[in-house]
Amino acid sequence: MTLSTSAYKRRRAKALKIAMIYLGVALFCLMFYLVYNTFAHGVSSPFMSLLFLWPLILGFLPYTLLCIFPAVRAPRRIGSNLYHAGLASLIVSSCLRGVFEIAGTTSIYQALLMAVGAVLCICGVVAWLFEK
Amino acid sequence: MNKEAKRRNPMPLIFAVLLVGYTAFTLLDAFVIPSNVVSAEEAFGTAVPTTAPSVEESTAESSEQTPAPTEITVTENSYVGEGISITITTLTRYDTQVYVADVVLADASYLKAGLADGVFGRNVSDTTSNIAEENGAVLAINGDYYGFRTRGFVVRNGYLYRSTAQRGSDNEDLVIYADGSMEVVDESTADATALLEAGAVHIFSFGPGLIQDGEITVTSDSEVDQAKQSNPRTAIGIIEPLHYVFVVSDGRTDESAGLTLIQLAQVMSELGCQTAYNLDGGGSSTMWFMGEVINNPTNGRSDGERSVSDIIYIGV
Repeated sequence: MTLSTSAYKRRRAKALKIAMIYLGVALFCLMFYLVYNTFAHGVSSPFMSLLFLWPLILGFLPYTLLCIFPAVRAPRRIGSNLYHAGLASLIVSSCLRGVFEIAGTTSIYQALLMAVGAVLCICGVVAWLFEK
Repeated sequence: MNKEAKRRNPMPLIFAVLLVGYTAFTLLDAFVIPSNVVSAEEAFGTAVPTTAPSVEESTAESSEQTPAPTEITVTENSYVGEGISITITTLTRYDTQVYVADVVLADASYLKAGLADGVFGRNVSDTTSNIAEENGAVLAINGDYYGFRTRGFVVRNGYLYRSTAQRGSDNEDLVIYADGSMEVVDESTADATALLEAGAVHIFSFGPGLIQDGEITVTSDSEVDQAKQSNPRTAIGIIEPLHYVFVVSDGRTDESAGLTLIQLAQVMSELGCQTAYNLDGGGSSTMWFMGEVINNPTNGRSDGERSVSDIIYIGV
C-alpha cells in the first residue's frame, strides 16, 4: 500500500510529538535525580542516576526512528497503550528502586511493578508486530 | 478518521490512576505501614520484660541474693554501681564531636537490646529516648534499624526474629555472645540458627565491621559511596572482655562535619577496640544517658531524634 505525502506527514508529526514527550520525561527524570541527589547524603543508586535512560532509549529513540522512517507504521491503540503503560511502569519502578536503595530498604511491590512493566512493553511490541 | 477513533481513549487515564495508587501503596508499605509485627511472647511463648526493674527495685532484689548491697554513684558523665561502670567523654576528631561511652560490666547480661514498642516488626519505630526509658536503660545508643529492611539477621536478647540474609556478599553482622564477646561475621555464609545455638544473644545486621582482631578492616578506597561521606555515625566496640565503648558522632552541621567509615574506624582503633562495628548512622545516631540525649541528632535538614526500630542499651 502506498501512502500519500500528507499521510506520511501526519505519521511523522505524531511520532515526533510522542518522541518529544519522552524527551521531556527523560529531562524530568534527570532533573529529579539531580534534586534527589542533593538530599541523599552521598548515597547513590544507578536506578536513580540512570533513570532518564528508560524514556530516552525506550521512548525517545524508537519514536524518533518512526519519525525518520514514516513508512514504518506506528503501533495502533492497543499496542500503543500497552507499550506506554509498560514504559511508565518501568520508569516508576526504577525510580522507586532508586529511592529504596538510597534509603537502604527493598520492596517486593517495586519488583512486581518492574516485572509487570517489562511484560506490558513486550506485549505492546508483539501487538504492534501483529496489528493489521 | 471515524468517530470511534476520535473518541478520547480512557485507558491512559485509568492506567495513570492505577499507577499512582500502586506507587503510593508501595511507598506507604515500605516506609509507614507496620507489618510482620510480633512480640517475643507471641513468637516464642516466653515473655521478654519490656520494662526492666528500676534501680531501686533491682537493688532491693539483688540485696536478697547478694550479701553486700551495691552503692550507685551517678554524675553528669558517669554511672558506677550494680556491676556497671560508665564514663562518657567527648572528643573532637576530624572536625567532629565524638561522644564516647566507656562501659565496664560485671556481667554480660547488662548489655541488652530494646525494640520499639517491645515488638519486632517492619516500620515499628520509636525514638531511642523512648525505647531506653521503656526499658529502664542507663545508657543507650540506636541499633541497626532492622525494621527498615526486609532481610538481614535479627537476634535480640537471645530470640531469633529473622534469619533471612541480605542479598549480596558484602554484608557483615555483629554477633554478641552470652559471655559478652563480639564477633563480626559474613552474613552470606553465616547461619542465624547456628549462631544462636553457638550462644549468640544479639545479632545486628548493618555494618560494615570496622575492626577485627585489633586491625582496621575498612579502607577509604574499597568502600562504597555511602562510606566515603561524612555523616553522623554510631558504633560499638569491645576493648577487652566486658569492657566496651559505645561511640556516636555528630555530623551534617556547621560544628561537626561527621565521620567517614575509615575515620570512625580510626577513632575506634584509637580507643583500643579489638572488635568494632558500624551501626545505623545519619539521622538515627543517638546516644542517651540517664534521661538525656548526649549528642545532637540531625538528619541535616532538621534537628531532633529520628525514630528507630531498636536500641542497644546498658541496664540492670
